[in-house]
Amino acid sequence: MSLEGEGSAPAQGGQFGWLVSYPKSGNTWMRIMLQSLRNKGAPVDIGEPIDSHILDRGEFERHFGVESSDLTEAEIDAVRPELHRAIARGSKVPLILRKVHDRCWRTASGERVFPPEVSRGAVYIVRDPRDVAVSFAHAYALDWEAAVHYLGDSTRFLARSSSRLALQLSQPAGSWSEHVTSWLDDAAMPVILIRYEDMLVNSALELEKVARFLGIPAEACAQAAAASGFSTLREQEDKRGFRERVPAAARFFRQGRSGEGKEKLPVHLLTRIETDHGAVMNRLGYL
Amino acid sequence: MTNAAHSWDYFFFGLRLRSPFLLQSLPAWPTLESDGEPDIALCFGETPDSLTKPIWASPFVQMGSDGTALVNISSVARFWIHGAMQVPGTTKIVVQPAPGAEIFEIETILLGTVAGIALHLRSLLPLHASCVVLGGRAIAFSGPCACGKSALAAALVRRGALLLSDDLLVSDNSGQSMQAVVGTMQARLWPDVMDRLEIPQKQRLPTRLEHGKHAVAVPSAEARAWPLELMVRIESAGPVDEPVLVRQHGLTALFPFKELVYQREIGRSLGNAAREFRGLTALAGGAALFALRRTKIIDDLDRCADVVLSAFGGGL
Repeated sequence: MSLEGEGSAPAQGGQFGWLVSYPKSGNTWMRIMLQSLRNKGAPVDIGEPIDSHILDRGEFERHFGVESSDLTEAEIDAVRPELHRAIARGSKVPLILRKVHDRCWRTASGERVFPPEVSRGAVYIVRDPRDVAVSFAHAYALDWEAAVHYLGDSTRFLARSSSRLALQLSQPAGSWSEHVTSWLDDAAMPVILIRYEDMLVNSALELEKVARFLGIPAEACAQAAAASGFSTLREQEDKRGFRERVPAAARFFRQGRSGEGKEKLPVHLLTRIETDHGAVMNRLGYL
Repeated sequence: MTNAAHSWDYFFFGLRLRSPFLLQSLPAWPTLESDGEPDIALCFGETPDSLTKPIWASPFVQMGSDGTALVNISSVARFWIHGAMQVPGTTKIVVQPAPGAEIFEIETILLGTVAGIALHLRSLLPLHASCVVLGGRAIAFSGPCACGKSALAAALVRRGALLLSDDLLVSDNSGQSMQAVVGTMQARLWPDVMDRLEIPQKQRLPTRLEHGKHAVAVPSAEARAWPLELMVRIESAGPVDEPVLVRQHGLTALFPFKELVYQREIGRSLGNAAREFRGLTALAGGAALFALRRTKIIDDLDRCADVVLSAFGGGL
């Protein structure tokens, strides 16, 4: 499939609009723009919780009436599809936006975790993995070697640990390439592909594509994009902080530009990224 | 503790529970009389696969219209609760263990999910809170999942407080003042917190097979109700230099109720909304309410405990 053709199908009738990306790829920026858009272009206060958050234990416990920290990861994983259906059943709003860092995965019994019947569609935000690696290293206080290794590791989960209790449910991420292809090729729902690099060039235009795909009135896209500019978000973070910043990171909104990976990563790690992800990078126009 | 016909009586959140097996985390029933009927009787036996026409259902819990409930954790046990509507009278909890399940796993589910449902069925108000006794008065910690309720309670116990209950707390407003009823004598903690508190490996008891959360026996309050004078909601405040306690006022200080009331949806399915509102209103009126604002509890655990102790720990 060509890049131009990907994600052109219109969204379907379910309630969930999944805002999907590998970590550090522009997901939060898009969420903030969408929240502003749904408030007619009003600025979003990032000192307060942002809508469209990742599923957490509180929701799991409220919908299932069970103490989640007494369950095993396997017991929680097995009922993730039903959790999404329960949230959809219990919600009166026509569109539920949720941030997702999971790859598109199935339970051990083969059931889709993101059930097509409750999904309107997925917005897949992709970013050059060389830039993802640099941003990832800053966010999680890793060296570049470790960050590049992380992007190539199929076994990675987010928020899965036997040593601490995480608020979020665990999320299988897979490698960067697996993450991309799982959503673009096997989501069983309409998917629109948005490139982070295009958001940097014209965020209002990309926001408008997303809004039309999800069926959100798009009149205030220009105002929403202007109110959610990267420098504005940086200023807000300087003044009041940002709740979603990972504690290890000095700041969440850091550089927000493209090409940093090629400038900063040593040659052997650039080669490693191309070895690990060349096919998908080629497909997405990054090589 | 009663040991007649191989059963033991325990103080179960203010109720008398009779068990055919030893429970590690509940205090013994405090009186010596052996012939009193228990409020809740635990037994092993057959349970139904499911309830017919449940009024509320999830993959783990079904609530019947007749005051029955079924909790199914397939690798541990099914728990069938019935008879709860006949108060006074004995609520029965029938346990059908899964093959290979350990007793400690049954106890874990019993004192969390099953206990919450049984308390709702008995028309009590279970809160999602951990609680310690400091200087003769109870101080409860609430907040969203994974905010550090148990960790902060355990850190205070390491500094001389007594555990009143971990994660699940029954408050009682039936008397002149708000009371907190003693629950479990063990703190349930994850390795990051146990390491931070330097809890020796041999004191870390498993809660489930191959699971990070462990139970740690800690100095506990005497099994009775204690005056609940302080309620602290743990909040994430983004980057702050120091954890800070801020006085709050009124019912809105207890928001959101969905985080404060344990298994709130189940209570509401039983028609407990009005009772819940009365209980929370009494709590807001009867206890001094505070917010504890901090960045991340595990990094700030010592400082959070210090802030609470310096504010409320005059008796220690």
